[in-house]
Formats: sequence, C-alpha cells, structure tokens
Amino acid sequence: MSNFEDRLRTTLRAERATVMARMQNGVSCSPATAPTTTPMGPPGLPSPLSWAWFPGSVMALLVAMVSIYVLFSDGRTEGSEQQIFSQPGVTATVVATAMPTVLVESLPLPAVDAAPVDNTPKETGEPVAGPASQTVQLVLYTGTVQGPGGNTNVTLRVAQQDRFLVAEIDYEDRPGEGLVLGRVLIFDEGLATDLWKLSEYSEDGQVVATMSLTASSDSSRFEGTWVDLTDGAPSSPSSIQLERDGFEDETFTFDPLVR
Amino acid sequence: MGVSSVHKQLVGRRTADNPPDFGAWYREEFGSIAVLAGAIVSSREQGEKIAQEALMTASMRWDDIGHYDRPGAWVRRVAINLALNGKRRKTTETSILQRLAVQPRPPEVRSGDPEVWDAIRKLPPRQRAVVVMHYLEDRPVAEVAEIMGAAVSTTTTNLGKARANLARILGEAR
Repeated sequence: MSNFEDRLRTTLRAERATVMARMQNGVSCSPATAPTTTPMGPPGLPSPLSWAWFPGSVMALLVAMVSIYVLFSDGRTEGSEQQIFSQPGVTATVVATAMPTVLVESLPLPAVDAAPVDNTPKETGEPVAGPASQTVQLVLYTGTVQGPGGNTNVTLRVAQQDRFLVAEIDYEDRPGEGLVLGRVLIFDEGLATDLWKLSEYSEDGQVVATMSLTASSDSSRFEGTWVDLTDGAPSSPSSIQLERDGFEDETFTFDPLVR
Repeated sequence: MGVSSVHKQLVGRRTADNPPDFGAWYREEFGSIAVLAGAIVSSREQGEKIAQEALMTASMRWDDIGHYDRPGAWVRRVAINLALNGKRRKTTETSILQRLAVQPRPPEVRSGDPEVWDAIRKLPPRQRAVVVMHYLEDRPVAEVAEIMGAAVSTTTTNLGKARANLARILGEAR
C-alpha cells in the first residue's frame, strides 16, 4: 500500500474513533444544537444530550436553531423529523434547546384530548388545548435569545394534532411584533421538515418533493411553494397539498403566523 | 412498508432469525456512517446529523430490513442520498443563520491528518463516498458499487480517479 493510502486509512479511522467517542460520551450533539447549560430532564433519565444519540430512547429534531428531542414512554425509536407519537396510552417528553443562549427543559407532552380548550396566554410549561379535540399544544419556552439587534424574545410551542406534530417558533425582533420563522409538520412516514425546507423522502432517502421557505419582502413571514420533484410542477404558493397514503383528502395550509 | 425489489437486492438475503438488537446495531454502524456522510458534505457535524437521520429511518423499518443480512448497505445508501441532497439545505441554513446574526462557529478540527481532509474535500462528492467505504470499511469495489447504486465499472473508474487525485494532491502537499 502506498504512503497516501496509509495516511488516508489512518485518518479515516481516527475520525471514526472520534465520532464514536463523541457518541458514547453523549457529546455528539453539534455545537449548533448543544445547550449551554445543563438541561433538566425527567427524573431518573439521562440528559437530553445523551438521549439524542442513542436509539431506544429518543429522536432528535433540528429546527433552525432549536432542537427538539422526543422521548417515547413506550421506548419506540421512530425516526427523526418523520414520526408521530399520537398513540393511545403513549406519552412523549419533548426537550428543546434554543441557541445560542437559552435552554428549554424537558416537559411532558400531554396526552391527546387531555387538556381543555384554553387560549389564554401561557407561561413556559403550561399546556394549551388547541381548537380541535385531538389537538394539544404545549408552550415549551418563553424567553430570550441573541437576535439581530440584541436579545430577541422567543416562544417555542409544540402542538400535537392527531397524526402530526407542529412546532412553532416565534422570534420577536421588534417590540410588539412577533415573527414566526416557520413551523414543522411531522407525519408518520416519509415527510421530514425543518424551518426552511419541507422535504418528502422516498424510501431510500431521495427527496421527491420539497418546499423551500423564503422570507417575505418585509421579513415578516416565510413562504414556500410545494414542488413535486418528479415532474417539477409547483403547487399553490404557501400551501402544501399532501397526496400520500393516508393523507389523500387532507390539505395542510402553510400560513405563517404573524402577530 | 415492505422493502422494494431494488432494496431487496441491496439488503441481501432474508433470514429467518429475529432482527438483531437495533440499539447495538446502531452503535456499531453510527461511526462509519457518520464519517461517510461527513466526508461527502465536508463536515463532521453534518455527517453526524445525516447518520442519525439515516439510522432513524432504518429504525422505522427495522421490523422489515432487520430481517435481512445486510441492513448496513441499505442505511448507507440512505445516508449517501441524504448527504448528496443536502447541499442546498446547508446553504439555506447558512443564510438563515447569517440573517439572524448568529455568531459564527469556529471551524471544525477533524481527527487525523488535516492534509488528507483537504485532499478529500477536493474530490467530487461521489468519489469521497467511494473512497471512504473502500478505505475505512475495506469494502470491495463490487459492494461499494451496489451501495452506490452504480455499475461496478463506474465505481472502479471513480475509485481510480480518486486514488490518482489523492496521490497527486497529497504528493504535492508533502
């Protein structure tokens, strides 16, 4: 074997050893998502940093600068950014971290239809019932992060709606005017999302449809057009038409919320 | 969801045994897949995220693909596809972070020889994938080709070009 091949093999193995050590030490969380203080998880459970990289306990969602970790009470290990957790008798714990300076402690996600309808403003950790009986929202965090002009107020909410999860993050970069960067829709199969792109994956990881989110001209909201990459045809702007098994009759309108 | 005919070829023979423990399999595979994806996207951090996403995708189908003798081949193809599709995502992420004026992170320091990483970075993404699977995991060309979904001749050519490029770049770097 030549010298460069030796160097190549040695370097790749060293990197693999480092990655493995990071995983085993629970520090595989990236700098972009790593909390800056010790997170508070449910009693008796390891820290979210450890959960995030081990199956059997957690999935991780990267949402812009916010990470959400979901722990299933029944130990399921269903996929990141792609899974629902609305099943009878199963609760999920959501742990979110927001960068660069704030951390959200873990909070139990209430069981579906467990909370009454309540639209009053909530503090961190208070459950909020959504408009439908099968919708439960949870205010995960209200606090500040470092924003464009200094500290920015941020509110992170997660809503469980039947077969999907909606996460919303408000960044309030101007007094009295909130900015929702986007929301995340999480379905039970094959549709992964984040704040700036919704993607539908085929079974082998190919992106078959996507919607890229772009800021509106006044930066007050994000908009996107769902594009089927198999034929390149865009659907109506700011809307998502889902035509998948189990979702044929459902349309989810992507209306950024501006307050 | 069943494994399609294409995937059946990829994952190999269906066994009668119970699927191996997913957690153990995850820990066994994570490092190599993270390095593979990280080489393609030139980022350890992104590689780890891709590896996790690919493995979590596998976990959703573990009752199916776990019964085959080569689930690792399938999850590598998922990771490679995610990595090759991820360029625009990273670009958008960067623009969002810039818009929000987030403090830039310090550059990553990869383990091993930095000249080697520089050389890998100069390869086309598919050559990076071939090189990692061949040199890190000692996979024969035919197996690499199968994972890549490419002809053996194409993969042989890619590996040859990668070798030549690496030898030239690293030779100059010394």
